[in-house]
Amino acid sequence: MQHFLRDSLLLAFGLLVLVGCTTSKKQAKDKVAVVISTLNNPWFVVLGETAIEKARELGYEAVLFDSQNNPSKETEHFDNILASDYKAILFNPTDANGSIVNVRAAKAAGVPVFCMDREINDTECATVQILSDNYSGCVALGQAFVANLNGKGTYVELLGLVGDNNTWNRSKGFHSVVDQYPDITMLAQQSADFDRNKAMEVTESMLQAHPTVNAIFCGNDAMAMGAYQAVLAAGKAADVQIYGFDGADDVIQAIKEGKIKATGMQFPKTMANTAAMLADKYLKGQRDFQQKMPVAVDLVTAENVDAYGSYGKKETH
Amino acid sequence: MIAYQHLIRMAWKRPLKILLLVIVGLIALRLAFYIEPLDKHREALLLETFSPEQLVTYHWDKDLNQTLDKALPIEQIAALTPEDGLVTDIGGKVHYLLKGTSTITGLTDQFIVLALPDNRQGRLPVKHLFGNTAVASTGWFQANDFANTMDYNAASASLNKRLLEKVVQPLLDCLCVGDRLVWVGAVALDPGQSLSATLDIVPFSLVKTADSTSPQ
Repeated sequence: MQHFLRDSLLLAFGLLVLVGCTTSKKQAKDKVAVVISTLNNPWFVVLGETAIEKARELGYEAVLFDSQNNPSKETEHFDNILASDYKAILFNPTDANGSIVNVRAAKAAGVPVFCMDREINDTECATVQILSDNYSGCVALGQAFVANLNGKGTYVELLGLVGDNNTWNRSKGFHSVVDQYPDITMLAQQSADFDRNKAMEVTESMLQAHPTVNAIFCGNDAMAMGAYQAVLAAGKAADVQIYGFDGADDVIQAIKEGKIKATGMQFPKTMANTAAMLADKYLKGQRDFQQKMPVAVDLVTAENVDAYGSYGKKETH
Repeated sequence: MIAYQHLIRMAWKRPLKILLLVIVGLIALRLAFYIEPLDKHREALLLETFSPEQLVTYHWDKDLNQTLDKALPIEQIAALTPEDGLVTDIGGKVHYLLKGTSTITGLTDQFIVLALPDNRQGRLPVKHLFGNTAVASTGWFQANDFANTMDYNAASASLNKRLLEKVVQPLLDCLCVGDRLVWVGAVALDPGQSLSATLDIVPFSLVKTADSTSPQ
């Protein structure tokens, strides 16, 4: 009887171990990497966190990597990711040209890359590129800019990272409109790397050189907030119109308060969710993807700001 | 008998050998080059050696008439579905090509204003034409066709310039309020919003009718 009991217990234990092993093997999740250019800007934090959440919701183990706007750091991340059995990469590049080599390495290793928000200058190596329609967004901003200045005035422009296509698509969209008006003059154009603190410093020196400037066009909202701080410190907040691009929370609030004139609302959550869903489809066997998927940008001004909330349109029920 | 069989085998072997050689030759030839339609080749070459103006000229000459033929009557505007137009952006507007015959109700330094059905009015820009509505409604090229979207936007700007120069400006001096225009144009509509009373139309073709009051 004692032997029988012992044998039964051993058998049950053995079965439990076996079942446990099988179950743990079944539950091992595929890994998805989310590589973001910088987490020093709330907009990219939303992009990265949304991608992580969506990937987890779809049943993947998702890990966030911060490239700190540094292409070498980005390459390190890619090296680690490709050595660690990740199945897909949701990627926000640091540089349109410099990041190609990383995406190419991933493709060679059989890991699909889904670019979000920022473009790479190659149509062969990424599986999909989900990009804001920056040009059209800034055409709309340019039209609002001209209307608010009544076709006459002076302005300065703060550019983003010079190696990023978004910087130039935004600038060119804006200039495609504003340059048609001969009575609107650009006094200075300088890069502030999409960075709030740099934008504040650059604006301070621009205001010293051009004290009568009427408006500042900024390539993103972080720079718009930096420019606003500089303008406020110079006591010119009521005289200088500021324009941004992104649709960040603090800028939406600033538009409501009349501190910033307008912004282009990008939809980081739409981009991140789309990237995660497409990666899931890829891992389930789909292969026919459109290489570039533009996402519409909305113009947000004091007239329609109430329709917009945290990085997108408010839900209307 | 054996010699006879040998002769037959030899007689078969030679044509078989020739046939095999021909097949191998054909396969080698097929692998040595590929056939591509001339227009596709030209288009690919234009994208490779990118010049926005040349690319627009190519599509203008080749595709314009076909594109204009696809335009839908303005009277159908309230019944249009997204499937009747083209969408380029996720969550973006739908681009339609529409046509009609309308009376000019206003002429400003910025717009030709047309009376449209259902008490709507259409605004045709005469001085500045911005954005991607024109190119998006034609489907001639997409962001996908270019190494970077800056080139796509440059081609779009070039098409806008051509439309102003070739379609609008030659007609401006001979237009008066009350004239009737046969027009084809692109319109971008937000599928989530109701139709506005004023539509911005990007003109692709404008012809003054013979019964218009001002000199032709």
